Amino acid sequence: MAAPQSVPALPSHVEAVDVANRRELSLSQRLLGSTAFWMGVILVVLVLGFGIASPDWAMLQFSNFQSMALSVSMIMLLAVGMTFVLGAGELDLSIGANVMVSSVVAAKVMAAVSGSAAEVQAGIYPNLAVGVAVGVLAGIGTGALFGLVNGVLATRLRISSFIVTLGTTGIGTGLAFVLSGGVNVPFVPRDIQTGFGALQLGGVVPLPTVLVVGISLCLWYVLVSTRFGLHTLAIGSSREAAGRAGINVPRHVLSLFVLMGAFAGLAGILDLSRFATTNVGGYQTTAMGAIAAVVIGGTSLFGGRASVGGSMVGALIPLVLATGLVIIDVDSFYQLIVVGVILVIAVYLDQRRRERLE
Amino acid sequence: MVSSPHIARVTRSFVTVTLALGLAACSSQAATQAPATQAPASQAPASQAPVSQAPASQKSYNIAFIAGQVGIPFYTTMQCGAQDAAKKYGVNLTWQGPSQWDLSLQMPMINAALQRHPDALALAPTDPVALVKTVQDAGIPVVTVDGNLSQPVDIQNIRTDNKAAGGLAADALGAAIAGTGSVLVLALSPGVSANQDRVDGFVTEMKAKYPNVTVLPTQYAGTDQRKAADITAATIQSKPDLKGIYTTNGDTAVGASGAVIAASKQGKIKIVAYDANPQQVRDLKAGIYDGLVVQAPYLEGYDAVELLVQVLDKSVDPTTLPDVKYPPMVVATRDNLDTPDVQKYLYVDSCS
Repeated sequence: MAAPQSVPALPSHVEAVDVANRRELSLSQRLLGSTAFWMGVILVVLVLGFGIASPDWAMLQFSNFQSMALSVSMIMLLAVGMTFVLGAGELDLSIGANVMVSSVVAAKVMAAVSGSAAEVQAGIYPNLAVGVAVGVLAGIGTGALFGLVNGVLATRLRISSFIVTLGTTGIGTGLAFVLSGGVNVPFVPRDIQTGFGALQLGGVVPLPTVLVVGISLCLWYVLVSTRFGLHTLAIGSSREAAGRAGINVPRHVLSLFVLMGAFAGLAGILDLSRFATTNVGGYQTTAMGAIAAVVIGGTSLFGGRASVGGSMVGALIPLVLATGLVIIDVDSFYQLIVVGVILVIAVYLDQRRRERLE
Repeated sequence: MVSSPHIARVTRSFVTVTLALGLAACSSQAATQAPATQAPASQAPASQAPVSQAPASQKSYNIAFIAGQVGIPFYTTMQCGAQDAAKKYGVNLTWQGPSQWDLSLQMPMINAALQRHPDALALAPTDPVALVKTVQDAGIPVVTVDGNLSQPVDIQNIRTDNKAAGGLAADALGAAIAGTGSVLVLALSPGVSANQDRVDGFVTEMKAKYPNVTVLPTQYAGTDQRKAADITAATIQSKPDLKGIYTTNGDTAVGASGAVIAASKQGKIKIVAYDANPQQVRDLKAGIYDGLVVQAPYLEGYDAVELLVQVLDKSVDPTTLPDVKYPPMVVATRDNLDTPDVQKYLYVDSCS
């Protein structure tokens, strides 16, 4: 849905003053002013730095880029969805629990539909295609439903989304444990791993990455060039003004939570395809990781300013750090310290740069 | 002739049992309770119950067994062992356990079981410190399994020798990679002593028996499969001579195998994992893993019940017993998987 003719296309880094002045920024001005660009620069510097420091240029090997691309896909998907949520001034802390519960539901459905219990235990899946398809739909549906619950609680009960999603984190995690019996779901067909999760398109780009990058680019377009994106940022910028301008704020916010939830469900499927089982012991830091990626990329925690490109880069930085530190043999205890220090420095530098501009 | 105090005692026991059962049924957690080998009313003190035809003991003891977690093959297998021993010695065994490895869920079950005044208790302690007092105050013989207590106030602790398990894993992995190359060690978190024992046992044995193998520094992935996969993927990049991965728990094994498959290195990098659930056995056959260190939950359950019977019979003096007893273990590989010696160790989803 394109914006009407009278409003110029918005830059990816929206400043209220620029919209008011109707100033059309040049490409280089936009780039140099955008956090996403500078984070991209930092990313390249990190990759090159690790590349020089690593034995035999291991960091710069094509196979390394492939495995990093595969690994980042799940968190990038969550970060892109979170960009919209944060852009509207909301917060969703429950995505970790959402991914967990969605992956449990998807795994159970896949194992149940693909064959009888005895067949599945022996590794025979007579109805593989149907089972996987239904399982994927069930997983995404569960995620969207979870998001719907978040959205309804946040908009109807008018409790802050921080508190709501804090609560639903516990509910979701508990539900995942109840459904799975506290253990990872067994006998999920490995074909989702060998047939998707571990495969590359043309032998080059991992399939999950293709999917996620495609979705991210679509959402980039939505944020920048459609009314939906415009309304999201308007709500984040000033909820009251957006309401008075005629935007149905509760319904829009609800749709953002449902979108985030559906993405979490899809992220659960991605992890299922990577490991052929669930991970009920994981996802404790997923929400924070996604939010950190989004904030690093230049999206404001308070709403009104968002960047999908920045979130995509922001998702890569922690992964590049973690991978690089292992490759150059930094002791595992120091890795945690180094990642934290570099993240703080990167965000601080960007904060200084923005303050200088204003 | 049945006397009044006798009737009062039976009635009191019956009421206590019924209340305890009612409380257990109302608890919000889905605790599994295996049917006792006899009806609840017969859980009156042993002197009132009919004498059973037990070969080794003269009385029919009531033994409560509180598992660490139910619904997982490890503990289901332990239950099979405990029930087999109970059948052999004519024991009335009650089996209970929480749905999660969680002291707050296990504690009410321990209390409820003790309320029924069993003759002895077998317990998998979910917290080594908090349960010390409970065991001390129980007033009956207690044997602990799987985990251990911070102080040896129990009669005996029967659990896996994690250092030896690590050593077995080193033997298996070293052989699988033909004694050369690098191996990566993936552990749980620093500070979990049982897990650290698995690491230490592995490293010591590998350095001693396969000195040409380079053991890379231990990496910690917790229960996060993604983290294990990312560490593995990065190590595959930086160490071209990576030949084997030693994983010390389920999630690191899943993560590492995922990364190995994605890097198209399945079969070129050997993975040794722990435990032999049906899923893992299937994965071993499919080549996802190359060795499984199999613990002996069946023996832990069986030996615990047997030891308690012997202590109650006074045929064994508890003060002469060593603090810890380690049941034997095996490493299952594709070659030995179908042999009866290994088959009997594999974990089951239900007792036959």
